[in-house]
Amino acid sequence: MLVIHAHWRPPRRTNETGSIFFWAESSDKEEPFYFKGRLPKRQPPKEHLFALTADELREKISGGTPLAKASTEMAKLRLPSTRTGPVPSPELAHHWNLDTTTPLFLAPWLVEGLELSSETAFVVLVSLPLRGPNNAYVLGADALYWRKAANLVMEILAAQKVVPVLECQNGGTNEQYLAQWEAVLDGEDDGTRLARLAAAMPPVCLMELLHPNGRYNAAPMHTPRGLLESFVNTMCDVMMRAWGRSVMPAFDTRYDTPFQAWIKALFSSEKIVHASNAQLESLQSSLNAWMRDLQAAGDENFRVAFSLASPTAEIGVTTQGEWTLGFNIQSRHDPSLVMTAEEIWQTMEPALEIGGRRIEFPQERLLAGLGYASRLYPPLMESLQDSQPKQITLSTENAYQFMRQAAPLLKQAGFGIVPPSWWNQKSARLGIRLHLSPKTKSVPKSSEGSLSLSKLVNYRWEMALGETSISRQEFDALVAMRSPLVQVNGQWIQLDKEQIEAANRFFDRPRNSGTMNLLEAAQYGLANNGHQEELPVSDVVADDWVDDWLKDLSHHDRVVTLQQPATMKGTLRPYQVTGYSWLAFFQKWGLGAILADDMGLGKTIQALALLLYQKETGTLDGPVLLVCPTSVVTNWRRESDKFAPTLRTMVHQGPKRLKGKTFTQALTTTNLVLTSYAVARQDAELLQSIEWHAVILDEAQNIKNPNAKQTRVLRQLQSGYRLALTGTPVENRLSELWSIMHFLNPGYLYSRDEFRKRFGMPIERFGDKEATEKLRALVSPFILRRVKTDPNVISDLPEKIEMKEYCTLSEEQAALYEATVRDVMRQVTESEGMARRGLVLKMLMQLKQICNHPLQFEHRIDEALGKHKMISGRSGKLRRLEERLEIILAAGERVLIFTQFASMGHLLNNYLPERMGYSAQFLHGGTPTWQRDEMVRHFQDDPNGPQIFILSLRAGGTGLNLTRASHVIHFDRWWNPAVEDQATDRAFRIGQKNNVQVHKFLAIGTLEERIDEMIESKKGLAEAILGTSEQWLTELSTEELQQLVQLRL
Amino acid sequence: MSEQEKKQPDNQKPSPDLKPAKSSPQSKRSNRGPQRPGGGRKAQGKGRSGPRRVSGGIRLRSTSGQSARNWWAQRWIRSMENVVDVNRLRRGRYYAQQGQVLSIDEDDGQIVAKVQGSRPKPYQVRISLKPFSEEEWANLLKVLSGKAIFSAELLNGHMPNNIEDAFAEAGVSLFPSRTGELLTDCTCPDWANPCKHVAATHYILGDRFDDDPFLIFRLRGYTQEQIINGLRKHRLGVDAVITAADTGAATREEATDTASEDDDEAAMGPLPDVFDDEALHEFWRAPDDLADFPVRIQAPEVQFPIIKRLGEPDAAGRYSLSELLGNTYMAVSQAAQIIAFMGSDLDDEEEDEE
Repeated sequence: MLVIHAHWRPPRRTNETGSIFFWAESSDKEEPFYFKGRLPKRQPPKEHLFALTADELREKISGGTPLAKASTEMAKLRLPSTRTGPVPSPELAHHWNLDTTTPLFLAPWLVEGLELSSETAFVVLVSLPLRGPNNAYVLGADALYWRKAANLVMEILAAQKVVPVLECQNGGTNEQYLAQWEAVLDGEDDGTRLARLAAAMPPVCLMELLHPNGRYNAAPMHTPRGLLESFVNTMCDVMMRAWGRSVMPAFDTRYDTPFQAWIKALFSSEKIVHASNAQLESLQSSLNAWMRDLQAAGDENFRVAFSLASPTAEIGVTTQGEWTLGFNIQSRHDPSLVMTAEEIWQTMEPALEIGGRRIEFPQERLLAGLGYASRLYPPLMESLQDSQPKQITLSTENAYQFMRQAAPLLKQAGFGIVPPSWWNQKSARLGIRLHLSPKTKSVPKSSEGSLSLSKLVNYRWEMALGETSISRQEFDALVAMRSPLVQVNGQWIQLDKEQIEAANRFFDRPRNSGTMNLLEAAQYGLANNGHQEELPVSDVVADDWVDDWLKDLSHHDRVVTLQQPATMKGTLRPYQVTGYSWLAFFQKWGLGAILADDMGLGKTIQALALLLYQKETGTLDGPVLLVCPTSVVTNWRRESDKFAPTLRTMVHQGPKRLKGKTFTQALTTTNLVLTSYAVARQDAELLQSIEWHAVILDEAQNIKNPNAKQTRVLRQLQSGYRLALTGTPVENRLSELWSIMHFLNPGYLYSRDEFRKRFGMPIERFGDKEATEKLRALVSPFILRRVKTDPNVISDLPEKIEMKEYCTLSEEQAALYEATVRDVMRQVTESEGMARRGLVLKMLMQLKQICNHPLQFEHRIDEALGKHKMISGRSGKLRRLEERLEIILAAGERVLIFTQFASMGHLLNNYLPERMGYSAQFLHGGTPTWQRDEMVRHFQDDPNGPQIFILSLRAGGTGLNLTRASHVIHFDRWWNPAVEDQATDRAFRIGQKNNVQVHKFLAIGTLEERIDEMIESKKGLAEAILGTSEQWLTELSTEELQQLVQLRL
Repeated sequence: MSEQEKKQPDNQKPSPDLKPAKSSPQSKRSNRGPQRPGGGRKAQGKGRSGPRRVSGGIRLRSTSGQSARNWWAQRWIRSMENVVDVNRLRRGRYYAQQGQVLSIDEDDGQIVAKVQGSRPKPYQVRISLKPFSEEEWANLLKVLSGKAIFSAELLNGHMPNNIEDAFAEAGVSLFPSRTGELLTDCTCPDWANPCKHVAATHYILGDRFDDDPFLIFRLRGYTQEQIINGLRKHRLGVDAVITAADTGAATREEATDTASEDDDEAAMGPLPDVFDDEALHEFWRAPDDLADFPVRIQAPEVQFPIIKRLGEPDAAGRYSLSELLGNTYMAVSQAAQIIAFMGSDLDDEEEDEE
């Protein structure tokens, strides 16, 4: 596994353009050795111990990117180190035993990597995927950081906020004039953003020793702010040249003026402008004068701002009054910090402090701003005849002109505008209101077909001013005032020409009412969207049950709580009752919902409760299809049999599954069909020919890829309603959420492209808050997610939740298992006494090994280490473990994995970090005591410690305190529950603040399951009867033994 | 501005006394008859010979008849036109257009220029104005502080329209109006003063006035800081005692100095050699993961807003920046949007796995 780093190297000389140095840490390198001598703090840098070489890096990540052609470079980086060398960055998953006792110190290391010029690196930086295919690599914090900064550069370039400048640099003896593009960052929140970005720079970015004598870069490049600015300005300059070169202006070569030379140098790779110093000085004098206006409105901290105040309120309708336009200085960081001209003129000091920031010469700043502003808005001129101008007064007409025409100009020039509080507010503007009312007085019954798609709702578009709707007559009366601003009972209203026209179009159009379906109503009602005739939809009001319905939809706690289904075995916890009632609400309305509870909260049971409820109420009028991963089909079967025995369930899996007519026939007596994603894909045609009552997807993240065949197949199933169960509705990308929602409620989140444009891109790439809010409003009603730490849930939960994880043997395992049973049982029948006992014990051991992994049975684990292909895909248990870990690790939780077999522990320790992308450690009988303590400390206290802790049951089962774990996995079973409980208690003991989930892995149909049943049935007596060893098994009769070990699928 | 102040004049000593410009060109013409342009005495009789061609000189920005664009620069040109004869004036403008002025610098309230004539060694031209007395300045600042418009315009690089009225009210004249107020000198052998070299310098100076209206104030003896501070004191009604020491400039410089020192220290010095656990944690990952850092990649509402906002620089001459660079701005803006929104297919899901 790799962590890719990107390191910004600012230009060192004036005519350089900087570069980005890419390097990578790799957990495939050998475990760093422990260094015993004097700490290498200030010695000449040694080679980094686990960085990839340039060639390796090229081979691993360069595919299709310009990195393939990048030059090999070295960098000297100071990194935090211990006696085992540089400390890996937290993203690196490794299974090394590293020194954690030596206090960390900074030491220089030589790192090999690939260097790309800024121009080439820029595109690589913004387009490098966050994770490589199969988690081959992840981007380090520094790469992510520079990627963010590069996004900001793209914003600047897209907004064309760059200015060409001529810069004079005193390079030693002679002056040089350089033509450059510079970013202009004077937008609304630019100052705050830059400050935030600078503060967020990971220190590693500043740790390169650039000079031969081992010192850092020159001073300004050595602060986050300086380094960030160098990046932004250099990249703006480089990309303007790169992307602008194809359209560079052509000149008449007969004239060769310094101005031309400057323009040419703005596009050439050489920044130096060729002309005499006197000429360039003259050019610079002119350009400086030209640029002065950029600063006239303010600087990065403050700006001159104009505040418009409306006349005092009057009763009745009027257009008259005296408006004042006040002059102020406003903080850019916090626009609410405003100092009025009045206050500024009173100050005697040449500098002031506003909001903790110093402003020099506030009076002159105000005057300079006013001087510039008066050229953009001449009415200001009159106030400048005073010695201390503070404000001007405006008529209603002029106030409107100011806001409509002058304000945008002034804003663009960098001034602040503080409009009256009501300006552009809903109350002051014409808007369109959507009025939704039910078609039928009473709430429709769900038996009327798919409610979500029936046109149940009457809608009417209305013209509105704030909260009140207005008729055409009222509107005409307002327009007759012939003023763009009208005061009605103290409330000012804006009547723009365009708005009046749009309103007239609206009133004139023939159809302002009709019917829509519930999903459309939800779309408007939840995120009041869009425009009608270019007027914003400002409000949605609903009547009667539609109103209730919309409220129920968006407030999960409003849903009516149902009784637990009578036919259900066992007792639902209160939050599970809530969950199943919520599902019933969606089922009733034919809407698709996502139950996204944390793992362990019982999604399966809640779904089963829903089906039972339907069966009891007679609304289960067809078969339900449940699709889940292959490994949990049997699990579902068992849970269904256990909790909902009245449901007639059929497993549709394996080569003997029913086909064609026999299948359809069987459906008439079946309530629930359980199948896997793989089978659903294969039997697409058959399944699509059925009219399902419902389709339920378990682990619905399986359809996260909208293009995958199985997603398309499932989308085309016919069903009354749809339900998705998943602990992780979004694993990596928002498109996954779209894919699931599109399965549940097609069209609700628009087309894929539209979704990506509206939400995917703005949110994921650019952190658009508005888009995030809108998406949340649209989607959250359809998702119910409870987490274990939720106080409503926590009180309902036992502190320890035990669950059995039924795993299906792979075909290879099943074959091995059966052959072994056949072979050994034959021998057992023929032997007696000690020999028989020995045989039985050996067989039990072999069968357990087979259930774990064929490699363990074959004693070939050692040769398989590091060879993925030999390990993966051969064990059902391992596959299940990977699925579980994915969820646990993604949630940032820590897990203990117990196994009885040291060899299996080695295998997991070797395989999992690589496969999962998270680090692990393994404690076994051979681990020396000091190292044990170290591991425990690492796991318990180190924020960067491994999330996976593998322990052999014998070595780790007692004595340790591992309360950081919130999951305990028993990969194989110990036949004595007491021993397992003791191990479990490593995590579950005093000091544990989390609930602990215990996962007991069982291979279905094998002796593991059988023994589990025996233990379960004996429960409390187990310990007394079973003792602490497996000896009792050897005393079973051959018949009993055969029953026990026989594979039953 | 500071560039000019920093520059030291060449090792030539400043000429001790500048001669007042004579105000009656007619008398010269009557004495010697009309001079051929370009006329050093040697050139006489051999027909017309221009100045030595030279590269790297400063050219007058506008090549059309009217030079300097702002009224005060034009006014400056006119004040010279009154004292130079027509032919020298024409030759002077020709020199300025051809780039014969090799350098122009400010030196202690004077203008020092080098102009390439017909001789190999460039001539040195000096121009200065008679400075106002302290009393005159005090009166002037008092009048100017009465209306905010004067400060506002000056701070914006503009000479207020009616500033001459304010000068008149204070009893002084901004531009040289009387004999003896404009002092010029040239090392050329031409007997006339102002000669064409002075005239050429004068034209180039007109362009500089365009860039910086405070230049003429400096020639009258006060720096920008002195004026700004003086205006503030008058505005506040504080007794106007103006010294360079109490200008804010000193404080400002100090402030920046300490700031950069701080930066240095944060950067170089106390980066601890030993990190504790927390510092290590922050080493690779800053506390703010910037997940919600807002970036909006979109085209501007109007094309090339910065150029629109600033207008065209004088130096563009016959060119227009928005014409020259407009396409560049648009092409780059588009490229950025494409990279941002289309390029993402790189990390799109792979098709149909398994």
